[in-house]
Amino acid sequence: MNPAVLDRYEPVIGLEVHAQLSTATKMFTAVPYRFGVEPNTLVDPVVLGLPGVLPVVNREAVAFAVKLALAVGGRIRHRSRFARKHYFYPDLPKGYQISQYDEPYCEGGAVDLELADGQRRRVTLTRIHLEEDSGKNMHADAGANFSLVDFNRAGVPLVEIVSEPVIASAAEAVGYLRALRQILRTLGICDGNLEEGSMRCDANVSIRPRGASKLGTRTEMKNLNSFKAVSDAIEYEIERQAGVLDAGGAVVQATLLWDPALGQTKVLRTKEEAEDYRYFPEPDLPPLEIPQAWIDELAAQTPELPLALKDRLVAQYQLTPYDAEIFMNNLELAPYFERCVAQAGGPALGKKLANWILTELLGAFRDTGKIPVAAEDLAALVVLVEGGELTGRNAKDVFARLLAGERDPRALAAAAGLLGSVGADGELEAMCRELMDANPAQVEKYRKGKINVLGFFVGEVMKRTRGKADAAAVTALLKELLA
Amino acid sequence: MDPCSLTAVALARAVKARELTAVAVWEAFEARIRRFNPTLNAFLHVNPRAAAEAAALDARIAAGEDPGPLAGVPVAVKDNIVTCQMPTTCASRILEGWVSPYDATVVKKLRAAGAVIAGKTNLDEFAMGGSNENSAFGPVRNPWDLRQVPGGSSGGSAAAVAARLVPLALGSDTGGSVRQPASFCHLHGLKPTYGRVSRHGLVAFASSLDQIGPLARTADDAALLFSVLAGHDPHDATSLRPDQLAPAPAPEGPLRVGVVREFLAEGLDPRVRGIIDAALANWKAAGATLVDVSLPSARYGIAIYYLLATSEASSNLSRYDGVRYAMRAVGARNLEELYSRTRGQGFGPEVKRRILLGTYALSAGYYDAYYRKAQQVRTLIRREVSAAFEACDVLAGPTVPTPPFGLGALLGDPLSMYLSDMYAVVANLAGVPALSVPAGFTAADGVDAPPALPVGLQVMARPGHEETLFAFARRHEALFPELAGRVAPDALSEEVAR
Repeated sequence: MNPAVLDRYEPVIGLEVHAQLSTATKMFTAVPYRFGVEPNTLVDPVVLGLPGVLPVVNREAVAFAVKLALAVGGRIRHRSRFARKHYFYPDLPKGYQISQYDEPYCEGGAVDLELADGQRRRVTLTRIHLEEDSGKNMHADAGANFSLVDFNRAGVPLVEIVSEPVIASAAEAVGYLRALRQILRTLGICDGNLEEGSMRCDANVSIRPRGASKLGTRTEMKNLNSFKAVSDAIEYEIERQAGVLDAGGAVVQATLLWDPALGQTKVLRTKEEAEDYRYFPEPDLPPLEIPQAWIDELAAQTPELPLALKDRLVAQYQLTPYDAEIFMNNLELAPYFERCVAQAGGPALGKKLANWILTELLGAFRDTGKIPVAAEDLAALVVLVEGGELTGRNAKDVFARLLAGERDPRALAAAAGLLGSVGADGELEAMCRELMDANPAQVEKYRKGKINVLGFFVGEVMKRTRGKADAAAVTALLKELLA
Repeated sequence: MDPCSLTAVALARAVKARELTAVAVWEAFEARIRRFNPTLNAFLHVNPRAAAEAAALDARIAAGEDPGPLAGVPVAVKDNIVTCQMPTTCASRILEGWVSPYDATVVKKLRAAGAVIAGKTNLDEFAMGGSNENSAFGPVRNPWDLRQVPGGSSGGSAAAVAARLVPLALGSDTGGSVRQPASFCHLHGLKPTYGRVSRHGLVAFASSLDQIGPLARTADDAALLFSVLAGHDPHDATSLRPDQLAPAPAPEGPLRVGVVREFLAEGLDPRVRGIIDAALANWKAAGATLVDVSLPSARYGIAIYYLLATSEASSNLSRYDGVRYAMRAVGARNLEELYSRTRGQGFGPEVKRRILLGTYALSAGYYDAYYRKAQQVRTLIRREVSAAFEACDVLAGPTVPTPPFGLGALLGDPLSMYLSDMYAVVANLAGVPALSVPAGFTAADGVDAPPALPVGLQVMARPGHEETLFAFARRHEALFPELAGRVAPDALSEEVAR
């Protein structure tokens, strides 16, 4: 993107994010949903909008939505309403979508995010509301005189998260989406998969001359199904609008469709063609009641947010921000880490434990998706090392056996004769002198300058101590004796 | 013993006691359906499995099972209530041939209660109308005078019960569609408290107003059918749980009858006025307290009813788009045409009129002036009705401002047709139960003039007080024994058939 554009214009961006809630069943009926299943197999009369059916609210979906509201600090209405949004389209079974309109269940709130350079931003939210997803049109080959519709997705619960127009760049927009996705995943309410459409984003973009207070005319872009698409589309649109203004023209309010292949937008409809959705309160559903007691119960189940976790790990265990971020991005590891710390007797060993997890265990975790070593075993191992009972080198051997599924590092080390360290009371020095006496030729070589002979001596000592000596201490001692 | 002359209560008792078999009962009624339906056009489908279902019921009774409170009683179901063994058309071309994959909750309840589903009855298309002339499958005739309409929209159900083609039928009432035909056909017709009977499987017209209710010849029969239908349904979020509404018993002692001033005012046919006045005078003479009651906002009832009902209808009928089921117009060249042709060919003129009205009322820029304003007036009416019950147990008045009118008489005058429900809509808007009971007949005068035509009296009660209404109806039957015994003569219904 041409940086000169940003010198002259200030972009103002707001995002509307739809997130599918990973509930056991759909928003208004007891049919499950999975992505990528044979078309029209996850349907029932309610999903298909057959005559006579009625919606019944899925309590789990409301609970999920409330957790999100709590996580972003939104104001939850104790009594909100569903409304019908009307339009005709083949993928919309009833001719209307059950959504929320002038009484959404959540207003306000904010999402904190961290940009690549470590800077923090706060994106405030206008509202979050609950609604149902539509089906999907599947267009046959060009020239075919029919289209097919798959209703599997129809009726899946969605939350629509509407941000205030406070985002200033494509990078911030992507940062916001990543932060939001992390929150959804932390809460366990949405898998956040953009490609499969479980998280979808529309972007409202306008620009105004730097220093101007009046907002410019905005356009809305749809079909942004990857972080790259979001970034590319926003940058494209900022430049396009700047071009229009620079040429003395006016931006036309419109809904645009992003074409990722061409890297450009096309007009879906303009303001004049905007549909009248004829919202009115859904008469088939009583007001949605969310009593405070239920909110309190859900608040007690709401986990720590990713960015808060990162800050806490740095403050509490002196982890580097880099390490803390790995925990933030691998959320199952954070509680595991803290269990290890507890087993190891407190935060003093936190940094050591983090090192073990991030260098030795992370690979296996990423490969299998499972944490391979019990927290108490890893804690016991690190305690052995830090207590001087097991050398770092031998600890790695024991760790390999833990990874292979064995338990109890102390027993493993004891059985292998690895426990206890050699080096106290001049024992190590005696052993070195004994070696030197037995190998006068090698001593001579070293003293004539062949210092790599040192490796021979260190190796011999480690062999005789069965690895229980501290290799660095042995090296230092030998250097001293050989000098 | 002719089963067709018995009440539903008597039939169920006889079948349970094995004095009659369910099969014999069905065969007797089926014979009448075959004989009179060609004239009346009350049934759109007769259940081909009814005889087999009756036989299965007899087998269960023979095996000592309790067949349920409606043992062997044939019940007709209005054709806007879905059934998986018969088509559900809503008397519309757009649903012609469609068969539901599921049964409505009320249909399941009927089966569980031992009823035999007789078939599906004719109606105004999608329950929109007050004469049963808006049916894609032809009008229904009134068994009391074939030149008159039976009322609507539950005209088929009312004609079927009045002509004794079935002892009981289900109707649906959005703005009088059970009570107005009950009034026109000399029947008991109940619009229950909103939420007392499940709407699951009732094809929606106006969701916030629709209720399924019984049509019967006697108060006890109506009460029996209602007792089977009522109850919370987890498939209907607007159906009331016991903790939200506890059904109330009828009050002891003389009833306090509120007479709604506005229901005896301008627009009321003097013949109806005379019958209602006489009925109320008899009630007073029998010890009831008559209380003068005013519902000042009731005069806006029809206006706001037609805003709210059409708004909801325009939304509810959006699903008939030709994409997933039932009718799809042929020859469409694009999506727009698929919609416009399917809906253009599938819906009748009254349905289109209401979709247009409702779409307009909900449109941006008009919503506040129409839909929102109507909701505000609805709240006023609700409050006035609620306040009126502080001084009385029931509110009484005519069900309909006129006696039955002639076939075709109001077809070109939708406004007059709409006014037929001016008293009835108040109960739907307020969500309270209302019952129409037979009140009398107009005088038969002259050779060419219509014979005596039925007139009904409507009573409303507080939410959950259906038992009060039935208590009123039973006492009313006792006060007017000559009305209780009167049935539509078979000879009339046979005339045209021959």
